Amino acid sequence: PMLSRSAFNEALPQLLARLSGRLSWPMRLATVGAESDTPVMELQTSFLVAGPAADASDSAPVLVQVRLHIGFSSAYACPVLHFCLSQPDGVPLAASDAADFVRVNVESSTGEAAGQLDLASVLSQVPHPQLGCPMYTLHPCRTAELIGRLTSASEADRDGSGEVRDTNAAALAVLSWLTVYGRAVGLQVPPECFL
Amino acid sequence: TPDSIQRQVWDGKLPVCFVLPEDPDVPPLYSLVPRVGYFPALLDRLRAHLSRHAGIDEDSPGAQQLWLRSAGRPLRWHLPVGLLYDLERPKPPPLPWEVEIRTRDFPTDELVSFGPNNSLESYFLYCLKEADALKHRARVINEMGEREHRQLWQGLLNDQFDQFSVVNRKLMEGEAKYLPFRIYQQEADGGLSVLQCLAKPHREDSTPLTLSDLLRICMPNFADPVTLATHGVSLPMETPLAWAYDKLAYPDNFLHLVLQPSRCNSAGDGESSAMQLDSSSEF
Repeated sequence: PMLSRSAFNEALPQLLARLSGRLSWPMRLATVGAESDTPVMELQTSFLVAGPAADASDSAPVLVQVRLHIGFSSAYACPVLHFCLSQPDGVPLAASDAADFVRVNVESSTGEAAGQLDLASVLSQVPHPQLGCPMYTLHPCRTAELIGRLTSASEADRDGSGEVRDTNAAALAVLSWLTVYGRAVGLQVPPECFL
Repeated sequence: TPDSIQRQVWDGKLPVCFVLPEDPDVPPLYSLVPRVGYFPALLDRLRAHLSRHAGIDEDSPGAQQLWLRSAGRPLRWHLPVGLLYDLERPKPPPLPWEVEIRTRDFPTDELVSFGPNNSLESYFLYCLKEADALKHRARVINEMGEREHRQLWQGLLNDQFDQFSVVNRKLMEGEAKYLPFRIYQQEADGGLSVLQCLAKPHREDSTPLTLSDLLRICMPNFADPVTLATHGVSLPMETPLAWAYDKLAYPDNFLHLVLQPSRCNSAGDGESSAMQLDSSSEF
């Protein structure tokens, strides 16, 4: 079953409630534009995480400020992440440092060697579709598949329409997706969010 | 031939004059730039020019963080060259188009940065993937291997229409679920609004969806008279979207349309009259 933008919008308040119940970060829902007569909405949040491992000689922990927008791609019919990475003082990370940050996060969560992942083919800096500012994104090419499987598992398509209409199921599907994709930016979704 | 419109679109070029205001002694660089191409593809040439004439080493921070400005605003160089020209306000600049090279104060909150960690080629592929996701649920682009993806990019980069078309044909043929398009409106304050929505090739009654239908879908409450233009040409509002897409899509597989308030009197220059959208009409 496919997720639609309106189903995603309806699931956002529940997603916000589940996440903000367990994470103390600033978090809000925002309307960033419109697609025909449907609002384009996002969950926006900001947090500090440990950066890529510094030199062995440098004992000070490196922190990265992540500004994360969780939105929806109508083209792919699935959620999509856009994010900015900066030093705690707000200076944007250099492109090579940003790529290292994502690579190290993916490595440490999947245990796979970085060399096997062609990061360039899935991580790009692009203009945000509504806001226009440059943000990093992970190409959603495989996400629709994943969401389809996640929503099948939760019996979201009870009316057989091919679309997810159950708000609870949609929120849980997006949360499951975030558990996987959020790791790329160092976000760990607490299991309690699913309760 | 059926391909001649697509070939004309591909061959369209703009004469551009690149200047370096921070050093007026540096001679300008003139270039005929493809309308369907991208400014960042010229970065190496620009750096070589600065190295030769301005004493700015190609590896220096200034050369590496080079950006472009026109009429006092950063050029949103992720957009095709022709689209950027057609968006210039209050009207497209005289030719050759004077574009400023800047080596300081890269506007990190406004411009995408292209370089070794974020290549223009992978951005181009990102656009192609999205277009194919709309048309074919990304089946066609995913079935193509890396070799064909590279051929699309190399064909565009090297101005090789045949090399590009032989692969692009696969993306452009067959029934599309939704047609990839974007509608751009340059605002007076320099902001750019970009509209995109889901549009099928046909209406509910199976007749072709027209551009005026498209505006009603994308901008349901809009009432002012407007025109839609692409590649510098205004399109009649009764044009079927599928026809316009097939003939006038850019190499990134999107139909990029510029929305302009309609001119009251076209003075017989062949431009179509604008359609007035009445917000009270049923659809």
